Amino acid sequence: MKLNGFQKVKSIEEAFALAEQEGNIVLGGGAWLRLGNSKKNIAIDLDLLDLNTITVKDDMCHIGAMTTLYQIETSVELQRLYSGIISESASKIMGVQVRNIATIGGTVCGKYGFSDLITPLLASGAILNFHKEGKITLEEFLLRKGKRKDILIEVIIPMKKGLGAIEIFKKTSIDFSVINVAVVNVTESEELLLAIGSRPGVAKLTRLTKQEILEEAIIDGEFNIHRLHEYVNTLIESYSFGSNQRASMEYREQLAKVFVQKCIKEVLI
Amino acid sequence: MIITLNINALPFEVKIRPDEYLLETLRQLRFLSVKKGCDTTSCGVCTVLVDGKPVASCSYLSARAEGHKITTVEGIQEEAGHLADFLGREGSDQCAYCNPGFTLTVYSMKQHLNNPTTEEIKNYLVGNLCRCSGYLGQEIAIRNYLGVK
Amino acid sequence: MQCINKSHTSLGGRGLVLGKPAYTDDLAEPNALIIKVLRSPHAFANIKNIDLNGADKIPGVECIITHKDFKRIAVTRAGQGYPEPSPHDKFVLDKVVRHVGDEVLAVAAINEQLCEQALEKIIVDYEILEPILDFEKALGHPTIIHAEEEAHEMFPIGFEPMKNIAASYNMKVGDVDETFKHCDSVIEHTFYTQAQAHAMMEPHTANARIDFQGRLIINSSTQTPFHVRRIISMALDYPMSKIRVIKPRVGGGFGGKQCVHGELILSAIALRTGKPCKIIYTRQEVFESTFSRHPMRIKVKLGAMKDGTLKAFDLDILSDTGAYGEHALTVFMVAGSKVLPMYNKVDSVRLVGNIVYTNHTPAGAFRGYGAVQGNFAVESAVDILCEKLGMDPVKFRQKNMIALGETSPIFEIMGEGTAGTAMNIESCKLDYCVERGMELVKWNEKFPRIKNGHKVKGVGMAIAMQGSGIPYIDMASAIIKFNDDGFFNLLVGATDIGQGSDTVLAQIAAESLMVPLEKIIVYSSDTDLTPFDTGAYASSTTYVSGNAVKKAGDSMREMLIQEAANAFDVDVDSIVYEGLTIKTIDGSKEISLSDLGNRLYYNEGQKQLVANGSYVGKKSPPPFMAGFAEVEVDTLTGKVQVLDYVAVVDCGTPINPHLAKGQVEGGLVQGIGMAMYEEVIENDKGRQLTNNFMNYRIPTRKEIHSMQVEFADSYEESGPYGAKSVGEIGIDTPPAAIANAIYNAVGIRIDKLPITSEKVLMELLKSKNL
Repeated sequence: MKLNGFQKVKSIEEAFALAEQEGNIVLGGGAWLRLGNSKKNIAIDLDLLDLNTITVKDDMCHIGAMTTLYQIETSVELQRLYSGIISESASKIMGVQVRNIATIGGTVCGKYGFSDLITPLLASGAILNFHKEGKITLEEFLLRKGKRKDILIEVIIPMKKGLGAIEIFKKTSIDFSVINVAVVNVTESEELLLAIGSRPGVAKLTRLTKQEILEEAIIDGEFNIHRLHEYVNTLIESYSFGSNQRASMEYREQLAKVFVQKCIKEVLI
Repeated sequence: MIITLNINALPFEVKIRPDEYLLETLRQLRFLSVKKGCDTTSCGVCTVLVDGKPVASCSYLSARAEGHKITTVEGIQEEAGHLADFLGREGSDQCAYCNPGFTLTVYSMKQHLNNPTTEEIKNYLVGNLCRCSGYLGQEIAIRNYLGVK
Repeated sequence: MQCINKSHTSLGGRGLVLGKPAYTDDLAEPNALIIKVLRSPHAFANIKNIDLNGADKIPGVECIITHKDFKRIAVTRAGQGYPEPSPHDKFVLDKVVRHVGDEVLAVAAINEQLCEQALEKIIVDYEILEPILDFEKALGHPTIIHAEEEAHEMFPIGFEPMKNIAASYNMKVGDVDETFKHCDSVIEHTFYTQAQAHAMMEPHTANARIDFQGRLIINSSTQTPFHVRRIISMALDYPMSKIRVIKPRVGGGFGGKQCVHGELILSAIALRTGKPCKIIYTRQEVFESTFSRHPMRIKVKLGAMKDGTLKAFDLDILSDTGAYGEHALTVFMVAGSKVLPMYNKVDSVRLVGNIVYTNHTPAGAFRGYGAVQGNFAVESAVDILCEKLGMDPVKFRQKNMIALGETSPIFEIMGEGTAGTAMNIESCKLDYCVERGMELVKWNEKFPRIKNGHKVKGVGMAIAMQGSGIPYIDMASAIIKFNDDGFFNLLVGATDIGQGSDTVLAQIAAESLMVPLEKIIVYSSDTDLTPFDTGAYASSTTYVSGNAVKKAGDSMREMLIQEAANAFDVDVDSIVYEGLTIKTIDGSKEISLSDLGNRLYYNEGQKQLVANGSYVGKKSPPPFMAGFAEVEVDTLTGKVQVLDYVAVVDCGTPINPHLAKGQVEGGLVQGIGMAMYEEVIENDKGRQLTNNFMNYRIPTRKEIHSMQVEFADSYEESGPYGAKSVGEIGIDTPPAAIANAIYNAVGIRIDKLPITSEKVLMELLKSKNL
């Protein structure tokens, strides 16, 4: 990416005012800026705005938009939440050299299909907080078309009691994933949240009724994972998968079936 | 634009383009230990420390680096020498092109991880690729350097 | 021995870890012009017109070169002995582009941004032609990739460009068809190996300046400085005496720098502008515009008797050399010549095949150099045969493999593009390697498989051999200079590209001169200052260059003895040479090397002692290896992990065991990469989809769990202090050993590399449904 100017802003208002101007761009981590050939005017750097903290308030985890993936990986709060699936997913993204640059804001706003972080965030019911628009669920944000001029301030995760499970399948450890699956079981809820990403399309959320799964899978008081085959096969059909140089559609479907079963079992037992 | 960079605890005033990355700026300032490998943040040979944490200098804008502390291997020669001795003992410093970046990552790991397991060492270093050594000699050297079993 | 079989730390390694400037770009002039190359977006096209459109008028743009600026002199970029066994089919710049990434023109400007500005202005008109992107369709394809009249072979290699054949080969011993008729068991199978990228950490780079004597001085990240000098001279029609090529420290080569890369364009621009300039390849250019491993289709037919005696071997190979023919014939031949002799007791052998042009990125030298492709096919086929015979695969190999004192007719028939050299195997511990490998991997406990729920472990193995230099072709030489204070300069042409040859050669010199290693100061790979060496390839450095160093060392020792005799006024027979000290036999007189050095420079009988040694091999004694893979297959996902890889190697005396082990381990990981993870993939227009490290995945340290590498106690009489070579042998076995292990685990045979988890799962599902 070519830039004509660079500005470290001192306030979010200053950032927003600059962002509204044509040709300007708000920087996230900027880890992959050099991969594109586009030409922009001024890059707006939020480095001075203290948006890189993780704080817990009223059972909500507030992750500033400039929080790096490494901070998410090592956050004690996130390691304890939903079996640590958010931290775990961050820890498997490339190497520390990228994780110390890439931010949650950049990842989320990019709506990247290959993202391993978006999937568990989605399954955890993450909420995005924009400067102008205010709060919107990650689910809604991902489904929305088009771009709006706004600045992400933070990602908020409701911290409820529950279990999580995640499977990320890669060819080598720092590759983009072939498929990723996350399931969250909030204890007080009647639903499981299932997200499948890297399809290669971006993560998609489905709500599963716990009762329905238990009825399918429990026979004579025993949880039998094999009885979930049909249930999971039908479920997978509601997702669309694609082929690319990493994997074929058929392979992704096969893996999705295996991992969805595994994750459901992990969070229900 | 003209910025001041703090490199190895010394100030450097330097003229940069807004879209210039730290790798280019550092090499122009003759910090030749910082190497160019891949253009896509994938290989780790360009690793430098910013505020003590390893980053890919090929993708870290120099303009952003103002106000932060940058460390290259030229700034930690004594520690690097210790690690170099362990690497040399295993014969695992082959072409050594990946070694300066790798050394900074190991140095950072020493500050941040306490008594790491082999798995933790591998996880921390996974972004430092090596095509020559096959990795295992490096791992023995690191464990000896860190004093862990 | 003092210095041999000792794991000295590598010379210069410490300084490199500390980040001292030593690599090619570290040595570039700070004000060097930046060179950027415009590369073809098309797989095959004629350049109809180039409109500079004012690009040359941009202030700061110093030079733009196109094909119009050059005499049409066809050369090969292959770094090989002259005359090369590769077709001369490449021009510095041509009016035809033959692969995506091929050079169209080059711009030199005072900074990169101006180069990019210039390139954006230039308008190139292409006439797009139909490319050949499937090597199995190249023969007889209406497209002719090399129709130019200047392309030629240097001697007959089967060059038939009108059929898209870069080279062809056939040989036979006995009559395979006849032998097959009498075999109890015959199997036939076709294997495919893929294009693999070297992925060395340092991208190709070179820089040049014109010195005060008007000479072209080049620093290049190369494995073959002398070949580069010669090829520049030929391509630019410029006297070799006015060219100097220096190889600084190199960040990895593995064959990918055994060729000319940017040096032709660099030299042309340096000569035209008179200014220092440099070219640094982006990683994308390394993938698209240098070289990769020759993909091959290998048809194997084996015939054996029911008692397990292998009787006949039939190989039909099609090799894809891409847009240009560098290393085409020789890689093909090594696929046979370093595999067939392993089973030397057969009655008949046939090897036929073609190396065809396609519009892919050119293929070139890559560690293993055909042996790894051939090994994958043959060692997989041997396991298939063993199953049909109902015979244990280890016992089969033990029965049929080559042993000490034996020979094979292949040695005499197949050489480096021409006939070979007959050879008896005078060192071979392959039998020990197999036995010891079985012990280390615990073969008897684990063969064929151990099931654990949905995960299954399996073990598989393969044997391999390589060579040690090319007999009667590879020449190496060394000069040793004696200094005041009693230390030596060792000047060698041999190229250290990270494999540690500077260190290993210094150890050999130190041993010969009986001095500590610190007394040997090595300077290598400078066409002005060091004597000739073909370069770092063909696993030649330890054996060929090492022998040259030993000759020079022995010669220097004799000179020192003579000078001491002069100093003591006695006969040379009365002198005892002890390295740091030289005495008379009766002990009455002695002189330290240091004092002798000072005397010879300043005091009496002053002279500069210089010794030299040259060596050409009369044979190429093979290193041998047995490789054992233990894999675990997850039958739900197809994911394969290599839990352990055992390698027992016979490389003769390992001069430096740690460095030798590093060579094997590094080779194993590259072999594992080729077996399971790496693949150059192109789209239907011939553009690489895997042209960066995000999409081309080499094994990371998390893929490598355990490797056990040991050396057999072996000694090769013709080698320096018993040494053979070790640079390539490590890469040869993993593809076959892993394929065999997976078969033993889950009954799935993948015959097309790489063996991905998707291929394994899809085959598993297919076999369940049958």
